[in-house]
Amino acid sequence: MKAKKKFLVSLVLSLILILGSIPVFTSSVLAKGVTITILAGGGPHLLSPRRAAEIYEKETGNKVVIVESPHKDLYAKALTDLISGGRSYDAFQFLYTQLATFVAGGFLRPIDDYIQKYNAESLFEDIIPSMREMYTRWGGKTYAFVYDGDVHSYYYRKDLFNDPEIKAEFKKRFGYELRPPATWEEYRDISKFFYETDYVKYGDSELAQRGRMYLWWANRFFGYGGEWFDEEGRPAINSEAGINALNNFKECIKYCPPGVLNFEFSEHQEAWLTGSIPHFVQWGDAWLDGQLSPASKVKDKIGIKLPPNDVVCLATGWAYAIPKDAKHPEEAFQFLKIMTFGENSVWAVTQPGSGVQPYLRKTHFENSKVIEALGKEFLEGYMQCIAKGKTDLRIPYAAEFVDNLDMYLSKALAGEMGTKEALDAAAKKWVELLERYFGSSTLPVKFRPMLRVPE
Amino acid sequence: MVKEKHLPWILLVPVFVLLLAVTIYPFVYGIYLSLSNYSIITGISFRGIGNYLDLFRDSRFLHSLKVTFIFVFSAVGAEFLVGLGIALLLNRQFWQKRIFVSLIYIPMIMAPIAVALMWRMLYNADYGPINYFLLLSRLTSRKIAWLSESQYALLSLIMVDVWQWSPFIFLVLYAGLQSVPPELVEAAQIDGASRWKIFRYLVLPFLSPFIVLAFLFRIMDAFKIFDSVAVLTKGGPGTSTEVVSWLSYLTGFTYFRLGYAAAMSIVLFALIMLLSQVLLKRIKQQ
Repeated sequence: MKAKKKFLVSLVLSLILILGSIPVFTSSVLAKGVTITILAGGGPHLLSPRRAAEIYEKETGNKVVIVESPHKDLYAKALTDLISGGRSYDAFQFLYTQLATFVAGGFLRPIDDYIQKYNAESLFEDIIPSMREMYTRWGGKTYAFVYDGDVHSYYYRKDLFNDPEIKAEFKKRFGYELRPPATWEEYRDISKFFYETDYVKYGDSELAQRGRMYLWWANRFFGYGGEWFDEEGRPAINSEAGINALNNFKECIKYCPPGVLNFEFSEHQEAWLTGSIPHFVQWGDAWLDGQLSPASKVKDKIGIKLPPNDVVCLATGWAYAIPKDAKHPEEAFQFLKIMTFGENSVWAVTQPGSGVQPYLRKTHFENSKVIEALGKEFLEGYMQCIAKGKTDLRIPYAAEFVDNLDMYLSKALAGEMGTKEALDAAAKKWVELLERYFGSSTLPVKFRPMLRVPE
Repeated sequence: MVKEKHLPWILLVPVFVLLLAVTIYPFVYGIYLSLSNYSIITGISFRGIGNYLDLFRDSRFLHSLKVTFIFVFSAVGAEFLVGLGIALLLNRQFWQKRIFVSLIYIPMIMAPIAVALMWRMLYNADYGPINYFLLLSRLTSRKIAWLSESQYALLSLIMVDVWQWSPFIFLVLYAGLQSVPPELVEAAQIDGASRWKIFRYLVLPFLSPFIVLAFLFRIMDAFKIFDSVAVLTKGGPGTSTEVVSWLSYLTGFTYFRLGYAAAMSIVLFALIMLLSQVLLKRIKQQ
């Protein structure tokens, strides 16, 4: 009998020990007032949330806990928590292309009531209308704050492109003037020229590691007139535009540094900052770090322009949203308002290494501090790219669609498959995904407008 | 007073509760998930063995299984040869032997992520030391892109694994070599047995259970390779390094097809169990 009693006591004590250990990890953050927890991308992207947290804590007496995550894991971490009902985060960072999935799953809290309550209408109206629609709204409701307004641009070395000796040699070889390329064929020619001469180490760089290399293909794809789906909603990635884009991508890879098929952001950016390449396509970091970073070898030599064929992919781009079941949604709203608007946003945009570009905010492009730090040339070039941008794949389950596309593109670049074979296989996979998720081999009509940048 | 016969059970309770919470429950839930269809938007529904049937029709999964097997058997095979070689080499007395033995352990005690990051630099095609020395010694005439050429990417992952885990095989086999009675070796030498015959007919039988044990641990561990794939290749280029654990991660945490990902993990688990049982049976026989 006694043994049984002891057994039960041990069982209860064990459970207390296990359950009791859980709050140990969180008790240190429980102070007076409300504590909000924010899931944020790591590295440079933490600068702005950290600074905003200080301001918010001073203003409200509440606490902010910032949970850091590698960017590639943000989606998985947020979604796992939302699915399991963990309610760990009061706000989280995500890609604008993922908004559709989060909303379709019913995971987000609309914030229109808070916008009204806190008179934030004018702040949201300050965001470029088309981008406001894409980053923050779905189905007529507002769900998110714009954090990092990303777009690809073409960056080139003005010192090389304006050098009379180089210009003459280029013209002699290709029969036309050396200038920022008007077509992807010209882009290839310039890459080839610099690769085969000694003015710089290599001719080009591409972000070609599996994961998000499809974006570098997408710039070409749009340049050749491609669309994600045709008018009937069938996948159109294996169209002639897709094939031309992949062939051009493959050719340009030859003029990149060795190992380029394993280049992610840091290697790609390093090739530029070390002055090893004459041009490339990249996010705004190419200008920000190129101009403001002490280690840059391209300071005051950078030109910015729309990529060839004057069209570009609105690649990635970050936003913040509040989960439907957040413990402190109103406090999270107040925090995000401080972080993504006003003085803090200007500070972040002008901070070297913050990893954020102008938040698609009209006032950012007119703000004297921003103009002084970044220069009119960059802001004008950046604005042009936003205006001519085409949307990244913005449909529910986009992550699976693009990852499969990315895998087949990678197979083609690695020589495991032919160009057409790879794109046909990717399109076939997309049809399979459409059937699985939407019950039809075509994209449902209601999602088709999401693939156009709103007016 | 607690009866003595009850005491072991009482002492086991905390461990049992912990096991239940962190191992048994997740495992059972994993099996349940593998029999379900999970969609972010529509939620969870029972699917029976549908996921398993799909797996064996899924060419991407079958390819990843092939890549995993190539990785496991190449890496563990090479680790055995290197580990055994070093163990035999150090199985004699020489000056400061302990320092050498300690140095050999270092890779094994390093965090896998740190190891992968270190090798990422070593493999760098442009300024990595491996290419530098290969070019210097004229063993190659071009910079090899170790991690981005399909024919080298898997080999590169195998080399990292061999570097990190050969010391483990060494450790086990070195311990095994200590169990060989020296008088038997001396007797064989006096009788004129060659080195190979001493190794083959005397040392190897003593070493045999240790070899099986080392294989068992390493095979179980190598099947779970993830860190170096995540840091070095992300399954690429193409699908040349896409092992099952990486595909399962993508399926679970990028596509959020949790049921299908769970089925992949269960298949991998079953394969590891099967191989383990074969090796354990071998140990028992010996």
